[in-house]
Amino acid sequence: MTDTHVTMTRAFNAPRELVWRFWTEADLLSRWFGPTGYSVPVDSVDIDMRPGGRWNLDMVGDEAGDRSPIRTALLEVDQPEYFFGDQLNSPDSAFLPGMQLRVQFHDHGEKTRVTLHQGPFTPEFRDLTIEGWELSFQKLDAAVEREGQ
Amino acid sequence: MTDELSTVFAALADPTRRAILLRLTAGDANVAQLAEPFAMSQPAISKHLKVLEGAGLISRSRQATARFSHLEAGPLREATEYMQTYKRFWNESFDKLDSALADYLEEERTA
Repeated sequence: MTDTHVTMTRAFNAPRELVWRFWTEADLLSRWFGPTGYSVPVDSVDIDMRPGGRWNLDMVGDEAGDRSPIRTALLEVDQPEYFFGDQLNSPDSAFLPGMQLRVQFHDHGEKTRVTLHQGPFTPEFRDLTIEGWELSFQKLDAAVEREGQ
Repeated sequence: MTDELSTVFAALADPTRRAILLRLTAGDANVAQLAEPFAMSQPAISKHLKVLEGAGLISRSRQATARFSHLEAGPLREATEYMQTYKRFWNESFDKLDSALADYLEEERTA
């Protein structure tokens, strides 16, 4: 049955400390993050792993060059086990704002199990999405106004 | 995300409503039948049915004096598909992480 959160889990063939570094160090994160066809420019990564810190990066489409930022305000960080944060609003954001991202790292024999929760897909989320649209319309209005001058 | 879709997610956010949908996968049912497994009055169940109907997740027909609820799969599929785009995002990222880790460890071994 459909739930309000997306849950993903996978075991990686590497020690936990290293997997954590691949999520939290710019040069290592830029080696893998994003779906097929997207890359993360290493200089777009801005990470500060502490509560009140941030987990920010841009994804760039390999073909069209379209840029999708991810801006995360970190609420909880327990290195190298767990981080949890809010998706912030930004234009063309890859993840819709109002959702939370929770990533856990567990020892799994010689491997490391990463478990990720993202959501919720709820009415609050809709309201924020509407806000995002309103921001886009404001930008459009401003652009039209400039054209008219 | 469309407004219809967020109505669907709002409707799905409640465990009773998810249980009702699950029950309806077994076939149409009236309010009395749907209320049976819950410690809830029929009016309380009716309220949940109204929300589900508003989200297009069920339709209701009248047979004599009883109203039967029927599961509508379309919006549920759309909601699932929307979440699928996020799952695909992470699946493909995880594939890339898997090979990036393997490359890194291989480089370390041969260095």
